[in-house]
Amino acid sequence: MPLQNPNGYADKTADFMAFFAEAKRRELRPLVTPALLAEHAEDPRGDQSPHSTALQDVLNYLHALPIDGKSFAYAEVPYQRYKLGLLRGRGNAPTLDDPRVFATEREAVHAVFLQRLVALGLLDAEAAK
Amino acid sequence: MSYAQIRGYCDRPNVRPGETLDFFLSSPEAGRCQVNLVRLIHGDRNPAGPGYKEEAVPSAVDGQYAVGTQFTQVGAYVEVPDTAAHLGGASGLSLHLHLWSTTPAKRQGVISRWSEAERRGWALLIEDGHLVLMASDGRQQSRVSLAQPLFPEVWYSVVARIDVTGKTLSLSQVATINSVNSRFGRMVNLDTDGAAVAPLAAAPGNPSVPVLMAGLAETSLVSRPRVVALFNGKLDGPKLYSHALADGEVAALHAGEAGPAPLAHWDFAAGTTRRGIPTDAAQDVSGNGLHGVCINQPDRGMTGWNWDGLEEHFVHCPEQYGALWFHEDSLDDCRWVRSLSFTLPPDLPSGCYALKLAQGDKTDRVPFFVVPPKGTASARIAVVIPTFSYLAYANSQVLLNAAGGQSVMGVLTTLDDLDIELNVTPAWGRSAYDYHVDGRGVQYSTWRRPILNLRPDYRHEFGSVWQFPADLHLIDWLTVKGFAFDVITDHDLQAEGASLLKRYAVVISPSHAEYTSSQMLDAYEEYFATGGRGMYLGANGFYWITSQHPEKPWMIEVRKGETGDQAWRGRPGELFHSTTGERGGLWRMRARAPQKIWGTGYTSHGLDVSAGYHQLPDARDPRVAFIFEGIGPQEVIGDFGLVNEGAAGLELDRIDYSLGTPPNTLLLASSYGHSASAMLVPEDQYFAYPGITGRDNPLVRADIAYATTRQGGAVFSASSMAWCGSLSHANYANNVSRMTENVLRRFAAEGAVDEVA
Repeated sequence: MPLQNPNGYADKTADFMAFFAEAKRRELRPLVTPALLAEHAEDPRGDQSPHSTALQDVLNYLHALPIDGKSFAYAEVPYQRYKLGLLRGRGNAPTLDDPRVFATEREAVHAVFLQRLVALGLLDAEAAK
Repeated sequence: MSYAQIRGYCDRPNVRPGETLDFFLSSPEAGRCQVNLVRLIHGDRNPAGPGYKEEAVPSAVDGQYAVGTQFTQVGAYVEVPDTAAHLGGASGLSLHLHLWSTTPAKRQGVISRWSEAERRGWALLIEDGHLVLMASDGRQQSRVSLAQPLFPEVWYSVVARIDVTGKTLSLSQVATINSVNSRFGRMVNLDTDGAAVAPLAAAPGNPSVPVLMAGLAETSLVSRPRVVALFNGKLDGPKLYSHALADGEVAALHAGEAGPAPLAHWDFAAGTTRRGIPTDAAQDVSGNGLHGVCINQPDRGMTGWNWDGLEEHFVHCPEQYGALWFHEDSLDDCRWVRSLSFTLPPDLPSGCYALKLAQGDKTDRVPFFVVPPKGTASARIAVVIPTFSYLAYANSQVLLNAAGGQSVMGVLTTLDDLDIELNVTPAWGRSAYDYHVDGRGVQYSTWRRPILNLRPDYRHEFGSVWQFPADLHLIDWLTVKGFAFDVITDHDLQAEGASLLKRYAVVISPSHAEYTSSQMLDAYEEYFATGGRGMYLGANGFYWITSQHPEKPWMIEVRKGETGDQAWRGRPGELFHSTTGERGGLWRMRARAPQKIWGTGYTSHGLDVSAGYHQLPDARDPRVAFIFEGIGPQEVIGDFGLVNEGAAGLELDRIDYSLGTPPNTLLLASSYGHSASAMLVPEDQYFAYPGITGRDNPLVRADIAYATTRQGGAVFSASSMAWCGSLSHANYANNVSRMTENVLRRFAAEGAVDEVA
């Protein structure tokens, strides 16, 4: 049967991406421990000491998430006042409706970390508080 | 929330005292704005540093100016004035072209003489993935569309006919896939050819708009139409005929044979020379003089429908490079109406300046660089402001659009209002780090638009100050230390070459002069070969081959690939610059690695954690004792600073004798302690393997290197983008500041340095 409609053929890579995401989250879930959360809260950039392998593994996955809905630290007033935002892709303003305010970038970045873990089901929302 | 506010730009980055600079301002609120000249000293507002510093410079430009909202036409297209309406189609018309659509799902004009406002004329367009031909006299509209949808990135031959006598519209498409010209090859069992005929109710009317390729005219303004429904993809060799062709002639055109003499034939490769095709002209080669002009710089030197993959340089085979690649988000010039002209005072000192614009509670600063009067130097020290690199990064929006951006940076992103404004304002254009809407990397960048990340206090989306705000770390340090210095720019170096550098005892390349032309490399090499002295206080410099547009010097061109830290990669057969004919990519791949001139070259990026340098045996060489004056032999150099708390960070360079580091180069110190996110550059990886990060690979480091050159010249390289961010630590009393000062004072002094042979 000849191919006639370019819209009739899905990118099957998506099938593996879904499989990969599920497998990866299954592997990462046991790594998300109170100690790992504390390590990130203490040193989100890893500039005090190198991140543990477990935290680096988790961060590698969080860094690579798709853009739409990806959380970021919003510098409302750089060096003074930060919030948490969600990217909405090219041409779209991000969502900035999280009411929390952070006094430092470090705190905001840790909130981004927790938000992504919760969104992925790797951390209970209550535990993130 | 609106991110719109007063913004502005100037016509070029560099200006001499006594010359005039034009400024273009726009605001969403019509009214007046306050303009003041300021001198920029330090931009980084990091509270751990000296803070924001600028000085008011009272001048004749200070005052209130009227501002309003200016329109920016975004998107590339070709305009053929056709004021005599030769191409109106009143007596019938045929057109033939080759088309390669990247986003067929959206509505877009392919070629037209059509007014959207008047609904009159004729147009070939794409709607919902299908080709459509329309004709209208303003009252009766006829259309025909093909049932077969277009496959994206597949070449088609397209013929459209308006038969006024036979009262029909007809349209046909034939896929012209070969092994290399389309997304997939010939083995795919494709059924996408088609033809259709429909009645023609009335001959096309004559709208008061030009012929457009890659868009539709929205309005019928006398000056310039506003163009909508912009096309994404390639067009190759459009031809117009003055009548409806016979079926046999259509078949011949689809088969790639020559048809009858056209009324107009735009050959987008016409004008190609050994130096490329640096022009906006779209030549009509029919002999009828119906020439067109490109607006907003479509990509030139692009593979055409008949590219067979055997030749990769458009200069050698223009007959296979007849395509222009259009993007709906290209921009070469905002083309705003000039708001004010500023003739600089004849005694204005060289430096970094800006026009400060204030309207209500909003402020913008439009930077520019005052260089010394022509043929003169006003100091023994020059800082070469890397304006080509500022252009390459201009308005980058990587972290807002590229999922992998945070993986590269190794951090969870922080963004601010400027980043968001860039993402929601198409008029500000894109950088050479971004992709066009249709997935093609951005290969041209223009100065003539507001460049928001060129603002002095902008903290870059990459998580640190970057480019101009980072270079102000150095400007501030020179100012605080009381050094007399000039600023000169890449644009000056491009124009004047080595003679410009030779006016100075020492030239300094600041944090990140990544984008470099062959003329600039020639200038540095000649300067260092004739006694010049240089300080390379950055990293990842002199990396990407960069061309300045000869006809539009406010623009640069870059083709990324086939290796390197690439934000995108030029497609096969598209690695050569349209504006110069030069091969693009890394200078290293053209036998001009940065090591040949500066001793060191790019080896790693590490944007999360910075480190300090550890002294090595060459640091004890008595010939470099002057560099270490006041610095203890056990001191770690720069384990502090505003950029991730270290002088070795962001991007790092290393010596490599195999790549051209002069054999007499001394390795004084190297950084250690980089993170797992600091990666060896792709061009050094060969095979991908575990162990290429700062935790385990000895090539992930920054080297402090020193070499002497001919006739008393010398080069000192700090090899880190973060170096200048450590200069102000501890109130400027630290070993990075001390080492920089030791070298600069020696280099700026009279007399040759001790030769290191």
